[in-house]
Amino acid sequence: MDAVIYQPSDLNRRYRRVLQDARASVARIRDNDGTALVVVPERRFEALRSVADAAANLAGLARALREGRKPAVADLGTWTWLRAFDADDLATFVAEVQEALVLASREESAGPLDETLRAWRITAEQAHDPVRDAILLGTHRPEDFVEAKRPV
Amino acid sequence: MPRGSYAPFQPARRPGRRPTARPRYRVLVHRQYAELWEQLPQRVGLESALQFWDHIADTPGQPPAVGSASILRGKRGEPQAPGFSRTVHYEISGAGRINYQYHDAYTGGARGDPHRVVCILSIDLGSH
Repeated sequence: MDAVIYQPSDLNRRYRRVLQDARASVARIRDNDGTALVVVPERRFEALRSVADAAANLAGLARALREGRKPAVADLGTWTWLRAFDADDLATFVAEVQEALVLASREESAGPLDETLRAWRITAEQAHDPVRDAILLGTHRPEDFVEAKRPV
Repeated sequence: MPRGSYAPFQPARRPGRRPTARPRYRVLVHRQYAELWEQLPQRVGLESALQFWDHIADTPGQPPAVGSASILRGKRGEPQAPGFSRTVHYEISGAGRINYQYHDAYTGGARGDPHRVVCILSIDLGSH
């Protein structure tokens, strides 16, 4: 069945049907000047926007890594917090985000992508403090630890 | 003093779950953060501090009943020695963040027998 393309007047006369289509997937409307418009659920729109933003950021980063150079700030797009990571971690990041992008696209949900980016951003924040960062990047030495008592 | 029928006060229960007789995990803290650990109840509140303690002393590898936890990514999330978990990042309260790893058969330190241990790697209480 062909998709219905509604006219501006349908927004008044057949609004229930327009909303029904939009909620189900997408409602297409052709304005009087020929402009094509679509109405989609916000969740779907946000997912598509997240995927587009992430894809644009990822392209610059992936290109820099492919060329074997340290990514400049301009390569990171809005992900400037990625400066905390070395080349190995950035390669891991790219692989994880690519996978999350596929999931987000297929499931039309920003969830998997947001979750992955949040975890990496939290990790980047841990690098701000040099003492903490050295411990997180270090190896375990039993003599560095003392017993912790139950809070009272 | 005789007690009337009106009794506005009654004993309050301890926040969180009842403490187990013996924690399943021994808890260690990195020397750099030992002092901050002592201050934890004052800085984040006893309730939050006990909720965190109950979590790490009992089920450090499971999602917490209160608060949220995630796994650090990349090298900062890698086990620091064989047998250790990846680094768990626990959001204790507001700006409070604690990173830890756990081991189910730890033999390091003075105790040589394999036992469960949680190593608190860092504590960040932000601007509390």
